[in-house]
Amino acid sequence: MLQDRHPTGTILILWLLLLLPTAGQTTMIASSGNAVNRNLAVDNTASVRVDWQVSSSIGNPGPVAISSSLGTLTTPDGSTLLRNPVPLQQKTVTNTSPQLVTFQFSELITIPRSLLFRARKQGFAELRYSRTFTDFPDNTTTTATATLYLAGAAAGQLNIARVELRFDDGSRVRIASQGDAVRAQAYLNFSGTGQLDAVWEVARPESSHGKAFFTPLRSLRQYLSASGNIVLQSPLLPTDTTGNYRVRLRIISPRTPFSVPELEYRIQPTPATATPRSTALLSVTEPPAGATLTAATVFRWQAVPGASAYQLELYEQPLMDRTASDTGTPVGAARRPLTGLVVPAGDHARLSRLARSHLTPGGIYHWRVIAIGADGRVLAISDSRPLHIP
Amino acid sequence: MIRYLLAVIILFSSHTVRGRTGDSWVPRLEPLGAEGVQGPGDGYRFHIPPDLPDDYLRSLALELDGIDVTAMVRREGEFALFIPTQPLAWGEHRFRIIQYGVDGSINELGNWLVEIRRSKRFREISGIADITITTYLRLAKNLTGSPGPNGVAQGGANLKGHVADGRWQIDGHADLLYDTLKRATGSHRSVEIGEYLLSGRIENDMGTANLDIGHHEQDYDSLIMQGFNRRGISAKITFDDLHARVSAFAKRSDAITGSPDFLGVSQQDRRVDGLIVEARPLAGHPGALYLSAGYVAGRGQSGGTGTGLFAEHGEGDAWTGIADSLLFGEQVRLRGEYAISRFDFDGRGGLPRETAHAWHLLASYSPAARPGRPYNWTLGVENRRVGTFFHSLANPTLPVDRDMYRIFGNIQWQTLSAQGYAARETDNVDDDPAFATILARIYGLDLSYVPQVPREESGHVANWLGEQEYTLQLNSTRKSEEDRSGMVVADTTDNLTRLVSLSASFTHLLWSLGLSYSYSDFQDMSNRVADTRSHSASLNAIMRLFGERLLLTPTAQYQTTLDTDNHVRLNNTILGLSSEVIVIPQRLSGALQVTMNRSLQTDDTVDSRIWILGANLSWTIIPARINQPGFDLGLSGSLQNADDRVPSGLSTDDYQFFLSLTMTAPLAY
Repeated sequence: MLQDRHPTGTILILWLLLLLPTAGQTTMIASSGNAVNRNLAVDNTASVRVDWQVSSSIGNPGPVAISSSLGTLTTPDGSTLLRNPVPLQQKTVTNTSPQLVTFQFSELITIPRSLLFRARKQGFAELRYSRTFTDFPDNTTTTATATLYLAGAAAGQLNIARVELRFDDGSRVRIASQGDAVRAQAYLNFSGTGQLDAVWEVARPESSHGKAFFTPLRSLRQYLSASGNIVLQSPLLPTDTTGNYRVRLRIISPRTPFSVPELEYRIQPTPATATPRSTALLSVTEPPAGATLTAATVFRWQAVPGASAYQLELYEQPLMDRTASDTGTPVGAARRPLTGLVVPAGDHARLSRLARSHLTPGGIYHWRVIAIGADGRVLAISDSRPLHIP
Repeated sequence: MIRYLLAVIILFSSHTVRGRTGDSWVPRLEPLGAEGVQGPGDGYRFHIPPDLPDDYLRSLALELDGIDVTAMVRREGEFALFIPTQPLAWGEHRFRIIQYGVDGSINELGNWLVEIRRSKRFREISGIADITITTYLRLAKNLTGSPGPNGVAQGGANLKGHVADGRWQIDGHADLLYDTLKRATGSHRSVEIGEYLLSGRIENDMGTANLDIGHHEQDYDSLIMQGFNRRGISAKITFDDLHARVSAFAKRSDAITGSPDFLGVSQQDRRVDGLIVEARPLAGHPGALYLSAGYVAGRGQSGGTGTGLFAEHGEGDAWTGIADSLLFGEQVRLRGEYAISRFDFDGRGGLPRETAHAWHLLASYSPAARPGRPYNWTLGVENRRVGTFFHSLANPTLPVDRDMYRIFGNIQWQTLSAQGYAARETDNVDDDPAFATILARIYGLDLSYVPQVPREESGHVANWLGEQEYTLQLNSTRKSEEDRSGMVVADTTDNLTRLVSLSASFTHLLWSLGLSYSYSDFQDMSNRVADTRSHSASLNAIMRLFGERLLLTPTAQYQTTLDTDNHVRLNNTILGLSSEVIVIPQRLSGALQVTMNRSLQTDDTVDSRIWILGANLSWTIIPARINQPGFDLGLSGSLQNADDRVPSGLSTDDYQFFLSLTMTAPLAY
C-alpha cells in the first residue's frame, strides 16, 4: 500500500502513467468507507481512522491507478464542516485481464472540538466523511462515505486529545545537577476506553547534540477507562552525564493528531555552590509511636557515623515524612520546632525540664531526631512519631 | 557536661537576679561576630565571675529558639561559650537563660533577641550562578538522515539571587540556555532564557503583600483552576486581622519559554486574567470556615512548550465559589464548590458562548489521633459533576461531561496503609437525547506495606532483604449503557477493564532491587473491539561495587499482550545496562549504557529490534571551585543498530563520536 501525501507528486505520477501507451482499462464497481471508531465524544478533538476499499474491474493489462484528492466532512443535510485536502493514491500494473483488483486506503482525520460542538448545537447526531475516487486511465469516479456518530465522553474507543509534559517540579525546561532525581510527568486528557501503548524515551548527551538516538526507558500498556485524565510518571531519568537530554512519551497507540511533545533538560556538574539535596534516614527505636511522655521517657536512636551532635525536636503539627528534598530544619528556620534538646554524640536523651515546660498537658506532639556533623551539616533525619503528653 | 550559658546582641535584657549565694549576677551576652555583625556560625559567650559557685552554675540552662542547648555550652576560662551546632538562619533568634528552682520552678534570668545578618546594609544578600558551556566536535559519523553540523556548543546557567532586610525580601531565579543549534533554546537565538521567577514580599502589621513575575503556579485548587503554572504576573495581599487574602493575576494561556512575550501578558489573544478572594471569617476558629470566590477570563489555547494537542483558540470566562470547613476538632470536613463557565469554542466564529455548570461536594470523617492507638482512618463521600461543555483556560486538564459519586476510605496502621474506593460515574450530564448515557462502575484498592527493620550501629540494615516496600493495586471499571433513547445512533458501549499490579523494592546501603508485575485485561461485550489480556514484568537494580567506584544499573522489562479474539500476541522486551565508573577520583570517570528493545507480533505485522550503545569518558583538567572555573575534556560516542523488519523493512547502522571541552564556572556571592 502506498500513500502519497504530496499533491504535486500525485499529479506527476498520474501524468507519467497517462504517458504510458499500454494503460489498462478499468471500471470501478464498488467502494466503501469504514471508520474504525465511529463514536466521536463531543468533549474533545477527535482522531478517527477511516479505512477505504475500492474495487476495480481491469479490462486490459497495464498500469492502473486509483486516487482521491479531497475528503469532505458533512452534516446529514449536506453542509460542509471540513475539507481534508490530503490526497490518497495507489497504482499497480496488471498482467492479466480481465481482473478484479481491490485497493485499500487508510487515513487518520482530525475533527476539531469546535466542529463537533457546532454540529451538535445544530441538532445533528451523526456526520458523514466522504471521498470521491477516480481511476486511471478511464477517469470514472465513485464516492464512498463513512458514517460517524456523536456521543458522550465515555462512549467509543480511546482517543487522546491532549498530552502535556512537565518535569516533576512543574517546569518545562530544567537545569539540574549530576545525580539529581529528575522525573517527567505526562498529563493526558482522553475520552472513551482502550489500551494506551506508549514508551518513555530519552536521548542522552552522547547523541542529543547530533542525530538523536532515543533510548526506551519504560514501556506502558495501560487501559484507560473512567475519569478522562491521567498523570503518567516517567522512571527516574538519567542524570549521570553532563549535557543536554531530550525526553518524550512516544504514543504508539492510539494515533494522535499531533506530534509527540518533547522536553529538554540539561545536567550540569554538581556545583560547588550546592547544598546537599538529600539526607540519610536516622532510625529511632524508642519511644514507640503514640507513647505517653514521662520524666523517665528515654528517646533512643541508632548512632550515625560522623555525627557530633543530635537534635531532638518536638512539633505541634504532624510532619511530612522525610523526603529526599528535606535537608533538616536549621535552628531558626521558618519551620521551627516548638521545643527540643541538643546533645553531643550519643544514642539517647531525656527531655529536660526546660524543654518539657513548653508542652501542654493533654496535647499530642510529633518528635524526630536529626544528626548533625561537626561542620554543621545535617547528616540524617528520622521520620516523626506522635507523642502524648499526660 | 557543663551547664552554663551565653548569647549575642542584646536587644532586650530583663531581670537582675540574685544567686543562691546572695550575690547579684546579671548575665550579659557578648557577640563574637566581626564588625558588629553576627553571622550564622558565630559564637556567643558571657562572662562567668570566678566567685560564682559551681552549684549555682549547674542550676542554669540556656535555650535557643525553644531548644535546650545547655549541653553544648563549654567553659573557656572566665567565659561560657556557645557555638551553634548548625548555622543559624538569617533573621531573629531568641536566647533565654533560666535557673531551675529547688521547688521545681523555672525562673528566667534573661532573654535576648539576636539578629543574624550578612552585612550592615542587608540582613541577607546572596547570588549564585552555575554556568557550564560544552563545545562538541564530531570526530566520526555514519548517520542516515540529516546529521547536523559537526561542531556544536551547548550550555546552561542556573542563576539565583536573594536579598532581604527588615520585613521585606526579594528572590529570583532563572535558567539561561545556550545552543548553537537553537533547538534547546526553542527560538531563533543561541542564548535564551528558559523559565524564570522574580518574587517580592513585604510585611507590615496589617498583613503581607506578594508580587510574582515569571513562571509560577496559582495556589488555588478549584474546578476553574488547577496546576495553572504559566508565565505572567500575579499579586497577592493577605490581611492578617481579617484572615483574608485577595489575589489577582494576568498570565499566558499557553506554556512558553524564551524571551518573546517576556512578562507573559503582552499578547491579548493569549492571556488569562483572574481574581481570587479568600477569607476565614471565624476569627477564633480559622479552620472552621473557609470561603472563596474566583473568576478567570481570557482568550487563547492551552498548548505550548511540552504540550501536544490540536490547538484551537477559544475565549470565555468562568467563576467559582467554594466553602470548606473543618468541624468537631477538625475531624469532619465538609466542602462544597459550584462553578459556571461561559466559553466560545470556535473563538470568533458564528456560535455564541456556551454556558456550562460544575460542582463538587465532599464530606469526610477522620477521627482524631488517640495516644496508644496504632491506626488512623478516614471515610468520605463525594460528588463531582462537570457539564459537557464546561471549560476554563486555567484548568485545561479537567475531565468534563462526568457526574461521579464516590465513596472512599483509607487507613494507616503503623506502616501498613490502604486506600479503597467505589465510584459510580455517568456521562451525558446534559441529558442530550441523541446520546446514550454511559454508566461506569469503578472499584479500586491500593495497599502499601513498609516493614520496620532493625539497624546495626553502623547504620546498615540488619536484614538481608534491606529496607522493604510492598505495594498491591487492584482496579476494575465496568462501562455499560444506563440509558439509550430511540434517537441514539451511536454504537453501543459495553466493556470491562481490570488491573492487578504488584511491586516490591529492597534497599541496602550498597544495592537496591525493584520488582514489579501487572496484569490487565479488557473485555468488550458489544463485540466491536477485540478482547485483550496484558502481562508486564520489570526488574531494576542498583549495585555499588569496589568502594562505590563502580555503579551498575541493570533494567529489564517484558510485556505481552494477547488479542484473545484474533489469537494474536504482541511481545515487547527492553533490556538495559547502565554503568558509571570512577577511574581516578575527581579526575577521570566514564559511563557506558547498552539498551535493547525487541518487539514481535505473532501475525507478522511487527518485528523489530533496536540496539543502542552510548559511552563517554571525562577527564577533569582543572577542577571547578567557587568563583574559579574548571575544565573537563570528554570523549563520547553512540551507536544505534535498528532492524525494523516489519513494517518498514529498514535496517540502519548509525554511529557518531564526539570530542568535547566543558567549562564550568560556579560563581557565588
